[in-house]
Amino acid sequence: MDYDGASDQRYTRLHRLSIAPAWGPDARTLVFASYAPMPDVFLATLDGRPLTRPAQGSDSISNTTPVLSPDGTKIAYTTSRGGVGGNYDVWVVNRDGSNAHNITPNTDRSSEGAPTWSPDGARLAFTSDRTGVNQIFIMNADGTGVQRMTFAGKADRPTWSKLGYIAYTLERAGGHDVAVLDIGRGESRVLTDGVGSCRQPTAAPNGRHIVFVTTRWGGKEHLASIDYPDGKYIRQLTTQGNNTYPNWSPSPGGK
Amino acid sequence: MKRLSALLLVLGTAAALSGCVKNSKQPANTPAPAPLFPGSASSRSTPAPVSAEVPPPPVVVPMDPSVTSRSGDPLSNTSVVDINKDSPLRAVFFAYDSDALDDAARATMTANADVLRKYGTWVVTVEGHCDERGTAEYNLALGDRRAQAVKNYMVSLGVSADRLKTVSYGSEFPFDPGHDEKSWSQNRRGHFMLTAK
Repeated sequence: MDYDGASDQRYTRLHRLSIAPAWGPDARTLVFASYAPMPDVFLATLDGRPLTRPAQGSDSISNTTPVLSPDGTKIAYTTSRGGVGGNYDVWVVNRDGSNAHNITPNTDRSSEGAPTWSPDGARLAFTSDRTGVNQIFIMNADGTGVQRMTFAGKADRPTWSKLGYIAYTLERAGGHDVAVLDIGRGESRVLTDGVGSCRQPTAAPNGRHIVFVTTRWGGKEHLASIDYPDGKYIRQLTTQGNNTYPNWSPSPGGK
Repeated sequence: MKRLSALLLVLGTAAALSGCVKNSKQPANTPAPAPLFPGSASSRSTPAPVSAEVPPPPVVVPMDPSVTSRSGDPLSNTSVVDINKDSPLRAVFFAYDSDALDDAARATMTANADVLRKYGTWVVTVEGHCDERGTAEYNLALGDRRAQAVKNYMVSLGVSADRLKTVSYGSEFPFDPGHDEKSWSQNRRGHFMLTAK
């Protein structure tokens, strides 16, 4: 749909649950997870070519929250493949399905997930519960240089913006809010105002707006946009049904 | 210009769960009656003499435990879809943000294991579900742990692991759409879905 909520179109017609879509850099490609019967990563092009399943799921593996790298060549995703005791890892696979590998190895006692690429593709942010509850960590794209970035509440669903921040869902006793982490300073602050539940942020290509899921209007899940950095001008984008897992497409040319 | 900054959204509730359920086209497992006199069709004109020296034909005892779902059992002639509407396999419930099995959960699974012993060909998918309070991504993992906990306990009760598949729906498919503990308690579950019989 358009940024103002107009002309939304149903994309998938798979007759099964599809979640967590993410655009590729050309805005002509998407990846998402769909139940088949276990969730697996599907790659779709908007020109109607057949769907592919680069993560090669099976009926005993869960592959979710895929994201295409900024150059469109690789997909990072959350998977139970090889996980010990139901724990998840972040894997990266080439778009054509080759070279699938675990970039959070040696984490048998914790779950890693919800990856997001840095705008230059050199790093990834992700969640891990290695310190107790989920917090946001960043690492180099090869899995080295892991660094913890958040320290309060529970954190989930990071999205890395070109303006040098990571927006994420912050869960505290009072509920969910969208928070932003200044990567350079390592400081987080809450952006939304505590009305309803506010989660699953996605940043606009220029970083100045963030779209998120909120229950502030009557309990149903709607998409809203909010301005960065000041948290002003919350606008309702959807009016029908429940709307979740928003993902803002890049602008053509990657700018 | 609007199209250039398009947003994608998924209407999560619009997805059809029924697409995940395989319709079993297999007939009910009622063994065909064994012929009393093997080969009798070709020897119709020369009936075998009844003699004390001829042993009676062996009684056929199928090894398949589904022999217990005889025609007198209404479930033997009920479709998978209809059984799931009022299933003898009961759901297991969890505490908030927990995959631990309490006494009630274990009692439910003991009864469910009896059902699966009675219907030895049934194959079940254990769905892990969560209430809406955690984040969606976290709940996918929590639902997986719940489904695995249920499967592992069922296996410990003697149910073959290959009859129990697991899947997590996180908080995507709440059974009760409300936003209070009464609803949430219904939504934190390991749900038994019959997929084949």
